[in-house]
Amino acid sequence: MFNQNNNKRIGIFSCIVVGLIAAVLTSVSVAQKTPDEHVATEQTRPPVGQVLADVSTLTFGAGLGPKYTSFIFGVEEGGSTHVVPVKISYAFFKSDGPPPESFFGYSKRYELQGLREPKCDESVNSLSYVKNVDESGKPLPPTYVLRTPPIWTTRRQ
Amino acid sequence: MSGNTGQSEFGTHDSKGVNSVDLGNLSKLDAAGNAGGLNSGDALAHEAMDAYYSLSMGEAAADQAAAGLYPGLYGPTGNQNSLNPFGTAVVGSTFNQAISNGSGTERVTIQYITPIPAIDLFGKSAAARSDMAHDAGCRVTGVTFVQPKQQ
Repeated sequence: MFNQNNNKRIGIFSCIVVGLIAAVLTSVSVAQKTPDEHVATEQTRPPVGQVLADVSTLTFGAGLGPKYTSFIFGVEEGGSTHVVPVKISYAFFKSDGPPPESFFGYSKRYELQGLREPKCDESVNSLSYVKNVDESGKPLPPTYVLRTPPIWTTRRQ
Repeated sequence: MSGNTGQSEFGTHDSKGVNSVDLGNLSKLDAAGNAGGLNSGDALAHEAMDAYYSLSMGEAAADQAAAGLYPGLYGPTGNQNSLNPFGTAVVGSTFNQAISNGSGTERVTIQYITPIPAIDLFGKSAAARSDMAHDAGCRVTGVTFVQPKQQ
């Protein structure tokens, strides 16, 4: 029963991640305040689900706003019968820091508060692999940077 | 205001009413290749307004309010790492950050002061990677404006 459910979820993830992953810009305080301040930002229902993968890169942004870290979140739809992966761009300031390691407990379900922001959309390939070049700009093999769940058979809470 | 913070940010919010800017990094915004994008004055104004607003509201709301007057940057996408000749260390990174008013994207190149072992990308939490990048130190070495149609 368990493994069947988990396999189903992984299969759906694999199908849907062909193409573009929509991004939800998430910051707890952003979601709680002034929803009309960002023009062209669309408010959506709070996504509920689980973290599917952490995007393990070294870049967090160049300031002029918060820093950002990304992860892929499996949004449950249709009474959790299937899962749609979305990119979450988590905004944080110095006072908070990025989510702690305990956040990425893959058996945990979350309801996220965020804003849909198309400008943060990214292709699955771009999100999953960091391109590499040498110092002269010559392309090198890319690095896979999705830090996936270590255990998929953990019982859901 | 600092000439060189040893980090790769143009400006940051530090605490209530206090923001800082890195003049060395800001100067890259005024390069010819960034014509049409944000300039150093835009960035200074954003950080000044952010500091002001943060006196009366939360830091995320303050940033949004400041971005309404002087745009900021969204999260990085399209990361690319530059590796040393042996492929064992990350010496720099290039990434895109959309300008919050929709006018285009800044393509930012940074160089790590101390190269980061490539193996350290694996298995580290976001907090650990953030600490690692901070400890390595980095500088902005180039900024190029990309118009919306070219992305």
